[in-house]
Amino acid sequence: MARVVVDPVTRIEGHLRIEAQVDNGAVTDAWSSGTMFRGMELIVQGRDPREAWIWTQRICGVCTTVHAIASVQAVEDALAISPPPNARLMRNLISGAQFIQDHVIHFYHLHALDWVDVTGCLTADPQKTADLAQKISPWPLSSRAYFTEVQARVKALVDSGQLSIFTNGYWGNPAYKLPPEADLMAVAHYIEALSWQRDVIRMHAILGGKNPHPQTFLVGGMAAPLDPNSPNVVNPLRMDQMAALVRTMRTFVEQVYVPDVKAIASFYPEWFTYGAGHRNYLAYGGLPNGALNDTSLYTFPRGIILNGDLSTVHPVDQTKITEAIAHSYYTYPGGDQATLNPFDGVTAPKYSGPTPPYDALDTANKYSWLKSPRYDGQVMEVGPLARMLVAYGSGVQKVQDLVNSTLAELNAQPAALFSTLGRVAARALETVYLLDWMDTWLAELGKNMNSGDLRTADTSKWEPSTWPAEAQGWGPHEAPRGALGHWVKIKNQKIENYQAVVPSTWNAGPRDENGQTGPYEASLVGTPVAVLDQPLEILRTIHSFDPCLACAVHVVDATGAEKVRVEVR
Amino acid sequence: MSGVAGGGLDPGGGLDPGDGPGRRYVVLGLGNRIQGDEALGSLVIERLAADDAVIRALPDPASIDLVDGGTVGLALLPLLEDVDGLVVVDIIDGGLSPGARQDLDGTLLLRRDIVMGVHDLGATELLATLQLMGAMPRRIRVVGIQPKRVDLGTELTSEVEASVPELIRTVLGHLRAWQTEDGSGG
Repeated sequence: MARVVVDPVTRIEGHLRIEAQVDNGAVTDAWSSGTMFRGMELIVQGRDPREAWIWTQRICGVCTTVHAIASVQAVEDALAISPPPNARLMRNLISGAQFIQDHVIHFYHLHALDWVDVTGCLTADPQKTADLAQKISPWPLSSRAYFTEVQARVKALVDSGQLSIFTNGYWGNPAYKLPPEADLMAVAHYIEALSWQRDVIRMHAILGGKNPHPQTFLVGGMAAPLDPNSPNVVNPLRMDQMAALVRTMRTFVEQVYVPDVKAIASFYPEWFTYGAGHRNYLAYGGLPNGALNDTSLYTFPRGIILNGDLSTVHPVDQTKITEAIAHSYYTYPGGDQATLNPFDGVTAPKYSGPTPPYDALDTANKYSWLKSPRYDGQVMEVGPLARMLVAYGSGVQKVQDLVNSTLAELNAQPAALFSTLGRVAARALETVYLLDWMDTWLAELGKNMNSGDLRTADTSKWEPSTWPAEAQGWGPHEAPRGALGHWVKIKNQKIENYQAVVPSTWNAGPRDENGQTGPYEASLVGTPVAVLDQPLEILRTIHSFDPCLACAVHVVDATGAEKVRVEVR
Repeated sequence: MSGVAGGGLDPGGGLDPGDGPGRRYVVLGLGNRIQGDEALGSLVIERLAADDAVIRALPDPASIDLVDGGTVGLALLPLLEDVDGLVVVDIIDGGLSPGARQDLDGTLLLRRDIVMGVHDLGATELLATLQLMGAMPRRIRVVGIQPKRVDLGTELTSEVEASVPELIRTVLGHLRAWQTEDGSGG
């Protein structure tokens, strides 16, 4: 019996620690811990609710925009403001670009190397690699000469004495199953994705003034002017640029990302059986195509799937969302067994864990800076898989077609979706699904502009004197990593209480007051671990959720250094 | 025009950062403004931008970008791809006395025998990524100062502060030498 510790798990800023119990080559129990305190809720208390988005957007530097949108929507909900259609379209275009860029980055730069052995590509035959690439896609960068050159660059990096960006891989681990040519093809696309991602995110510079952290959000709409006759605003030239960016997105997603996901998945069929967890899925839904509160017109439908039963989509009632702290470093006025809806949420930190540096968490008691969100007392997974399952169950035809054809290609049953690779596949299909919406939103925005509808904001309630003495609002949104909600209570024109429940808190939270494990913890049970001091398989499942502990715990690593500490005892 | 870019910002909403004809040179300051001497690189960029007469005195000022890289990120890639010269400014812990200046061959950044500022890994990974992309800067120098204190705080120590003017002269010297060699401004 051994306990494996992986700390931190994320390849980007943020702090997530996993302790896993391994018996006879498989995980039997696991504990997920966020190791840093957030506290953004305390920072915005007493501030003007119209500026909350500026603060909360900085919760994360990677998942930029999502907290800003959730925040302005919460305040708009509280003050009964309806942003005009153009504001909704611009927010959707910003969100869509964020999803598409983020999903591709996640696959290539944060997850692919759990499946692809970088050192494997050194022995690949460039001709066989070209054959493979040309077989699965019309993407033009697929010649023998091209792969020969990429291979030479990787070799130069290896020969320089250190692998740098590839330092932390478990190269040569027996759990790597790809043939060398697939390794080389994937590494080439890893490099190509670096250039692609910096191009497509220019959408944010056009609509948001800058990236990361666009600056044009506004309670009531957007501060990005729309005018066909002005050179420095969103005009026909900018519309053409955005249309070209969407084409760039589409080509890479359809010809590189999706074929790679399918090709890699085909070598790991057993990973459609590992990593399920509780099989409860929650989507707040979002990216509205009508009024903010008209959920029937959401791009992503709202709903809940229970126990993997896709035949019924349950409704979402935000009053049933609560957060527990029984195993979290916080106190509640009602004690550790109490749970609170975020409107009445309390952020009162009280660390009671071991003094760092420590070997083990006190998992019998409190062991995480994340709270444990629950819906009607039940554990919920959020993210692309939850969104696709809810959309599938809700009868969204395009999602059903995408899912069914992919399952047929992989010769898999719907139950295969409840797995580690199910998350990876859902993320890719969701990216395809959004491409058509991007075209739709752009066309609508262009139509409005040409017909003279240039409104981008409703400022009729901008002045605090127009507000009620007390108001409260909920801003549900979907971030690339899953359901994101901001809750705000406004009293005498100031923020009285503010709570953000972020996707990684839903997924990475610890056990609750009833001892129910969180989604990460549950998903790891049964995961095989071939080499104890190389917990590659644990990382596969955790990374399949796209953990962003910068998002869940929000304090940027002051050392900037990534140390994946693996301990075996 | 020379310009200042923040950590991955797209200054002025520009859609083509770094594109355009001709030579390109970048001064990249790395630093965390709330970590004492660790702020060095970021502060040097700020001072160069505030006193741009020194940049304008160079052979081809329009080809120079001053980049405040903050604590680094992949967003910096497009600013550095295929540039003709890159000066990285950072604190460098070489076990010397506080305030000692260093002026190193940039290929050292791809090794691990020197310890740079706390964002060492970021800079190293950035250059390795450029190498993988086949877009390494033609020349790289790394200039810096031995720190005294890297801890919560917003000011440089007096030892490091005293060495900053000479460090800036070193940065300008590299830019001048490269531009002269490339026949710029003539």
